[in-house]
Amino acid sequence: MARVLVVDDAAFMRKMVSDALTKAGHEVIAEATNGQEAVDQFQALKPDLATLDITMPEKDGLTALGEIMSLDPNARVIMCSALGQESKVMESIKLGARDFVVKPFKADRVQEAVAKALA
Amino acid sequence: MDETAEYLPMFLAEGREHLQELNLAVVRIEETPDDQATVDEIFRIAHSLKGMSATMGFAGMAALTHEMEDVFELLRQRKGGLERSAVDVLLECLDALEAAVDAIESSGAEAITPDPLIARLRTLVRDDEEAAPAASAEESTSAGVLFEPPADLSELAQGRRVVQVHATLVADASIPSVRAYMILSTLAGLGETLACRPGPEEVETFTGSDIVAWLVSDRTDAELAEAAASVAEVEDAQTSEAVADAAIDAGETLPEATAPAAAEPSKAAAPRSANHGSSTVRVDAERLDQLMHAMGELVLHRTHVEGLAAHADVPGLPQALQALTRTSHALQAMVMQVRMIPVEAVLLRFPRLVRDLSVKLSKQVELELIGKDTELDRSVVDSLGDPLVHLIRNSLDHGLETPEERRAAGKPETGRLEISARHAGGNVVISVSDDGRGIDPARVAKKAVERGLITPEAAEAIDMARATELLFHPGFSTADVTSDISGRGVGMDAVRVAIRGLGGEVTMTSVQGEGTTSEIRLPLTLAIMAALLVQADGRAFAIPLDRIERTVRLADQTVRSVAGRRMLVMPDGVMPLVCASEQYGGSRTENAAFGVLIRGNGQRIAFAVSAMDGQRELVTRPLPPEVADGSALSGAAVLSDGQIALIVDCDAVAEGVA
Repeated sequence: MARVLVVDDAAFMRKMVSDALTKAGHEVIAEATNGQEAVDQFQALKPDLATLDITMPEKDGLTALGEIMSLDPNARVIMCSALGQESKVMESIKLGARDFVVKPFKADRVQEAVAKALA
Repeated sequence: MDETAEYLPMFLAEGREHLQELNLAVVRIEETPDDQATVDEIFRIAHSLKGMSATMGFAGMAALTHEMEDVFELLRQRKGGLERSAVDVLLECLDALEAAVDAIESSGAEAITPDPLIARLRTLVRDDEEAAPAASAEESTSAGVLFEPPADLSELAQGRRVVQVHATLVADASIPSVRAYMILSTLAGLGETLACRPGPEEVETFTGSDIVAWLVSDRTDAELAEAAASVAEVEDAQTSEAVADAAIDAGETLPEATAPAAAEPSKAAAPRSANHGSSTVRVDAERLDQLMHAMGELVLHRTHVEGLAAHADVPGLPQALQALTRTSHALQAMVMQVRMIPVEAVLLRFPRLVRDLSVKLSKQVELELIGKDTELDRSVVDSLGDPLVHLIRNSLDHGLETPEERRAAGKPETGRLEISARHAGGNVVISVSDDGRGIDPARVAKKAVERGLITPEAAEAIDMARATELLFHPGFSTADVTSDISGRGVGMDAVRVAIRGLGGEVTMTSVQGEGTTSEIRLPLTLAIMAALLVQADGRAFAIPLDRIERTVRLADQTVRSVAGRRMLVMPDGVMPLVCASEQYGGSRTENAAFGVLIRGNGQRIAFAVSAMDGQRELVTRPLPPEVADGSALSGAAVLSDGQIALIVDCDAVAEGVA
């Protein structure tokens, strides 16, 4: 199963995503709380997949996604967005994100997104 | 809700943090409207809160935060900041959200009616929207999807076989436009797209559920259908032949333009790094209390074993005990440390409070918070809010003057309120200072005479120290409730009771015309206390070590009787000698051997006891209110031999002789 990096500025959301992934048999190898940490962790840990929140302090998810994709054009990234972020989600898919989930999400939706991105 | 129940405590804790940050940020934005970083921060936090509430199924909170986010988004683009009316609405929203969080905690339901607030939020942005109607033209352009192939398809096909791929999204697909884009770009990676619905220009605004592409590809129809279905939230994908093959030759497929490459899964298993991201853990406060409690028990048992060991002759026992003591001290220090939280947790409530009060009172105030990082036991921090709120209300209501009064007095129109926290020895000192009009002893005296607290003669001779002390008298401020800010029938005596309940003390100093400072002095931690054990009349008492100046053998000292009261005469001053036995309901013992010099209520007293049993670390327990009230005791502790020691409330004892 996959080694996953979970990125979200809210501890609450990180836990929900992590729990959903762990239940599906994946291993959450690290968590990051902003875009910069996400890029650093991605570079250091080379996870199989990362879930990336869009709105975060310091460096937002889109900027981080751009940097991650330039580090590894094959990176598998799933965006975690909320209602009202349609254009940002579109932009992220254009930048190379494999999929997205919209909060509030159900655990099975996260699991599906991860399974499809890994397939 | 069952599925999310385990996340509730985390939701509550983080939600409250977010709300506090929002409160601070909104107050800040009112002061400096052009602070783009703060506007961004507000937007981000509101956004987080929305996601959290929606995930937990709290629809009312989610709806309200969603609307707030929209307002902030517009404000982000607008120059000139927020009007007061907008700030007021936003703050009301925060209050409603806070109430919702409280309601969720107590009853599980959010108990929020977001619609009136949502309506008001909408009026805030309506003007902008009217001014710039072009900004959000979100009319769906793709209501009726045409499955009819374009008329020129055969022409475009140039004799090649064209496959129609038709993907249907699930009914509640998250963002249809993005799904359409994903499907179309996946297909574009497998062949040449001749036409599609939605078209390239329509994808971004697509809101339907049917996506159709006509393409020329050397993949099998099944492969194409599978590719379309591989996109999440696609319910179904079908293929059919749109234009038949004109020649056997499949022709060349043109290189695809915009679609991202279908990446090969690269399984280059990278070496594992132990560098994990988060290094903090959230712990339920109750567990910390349990940990502290268990630690207290451990200290108790250790003391017991030490007592037994003193009479035992077991080789190696003293060394083993020493090691145990060392470790348990280290453990205790760590437990204490874990329980410490920055006083910031309570101070950050105040910018909002000060802002609201100053608006209400038409006063101008600049608030400064100093020493937010100062740490205190969390149980103390939790109980500190109300007393501090009272002091702040007092400062704003009675202390600080109106801008006109200040100008007349030659002061800057904007008053200053400073709340500071700092460590001083084993204590934390928190002070609330204003540069207002100060306390007028004569006015205090007049009121005290009216209340029958002092005689008119005493009022003549009143000084500032006596006047501030009168303010703490239970009878002083209970009677006339003059304002809804600091009145409410609770006076400074309530503050004092609360602070003493925390094992601390509160004092007030003032200079007329220049301002007033209230100072709260608190022990670092409440649960374990270093104390001197003493005996009086055969009973055990504990005196908090941080209140003890020193101890003396009474036989070596001079004791005089002044106006019927026994006084201990020391080279550095004369102080009342209080017989411990008599203080606590026994008879006065003339054979008290020792005097413990303690500080209480700002004065020195000598406490006469018959024996001293040494220093102990005690796990304190509160007394039931019916025992504690008026007893001059602040709690009790179980000693290692099972005996109970009562903890002396030094302030109350001192007050008794004042």
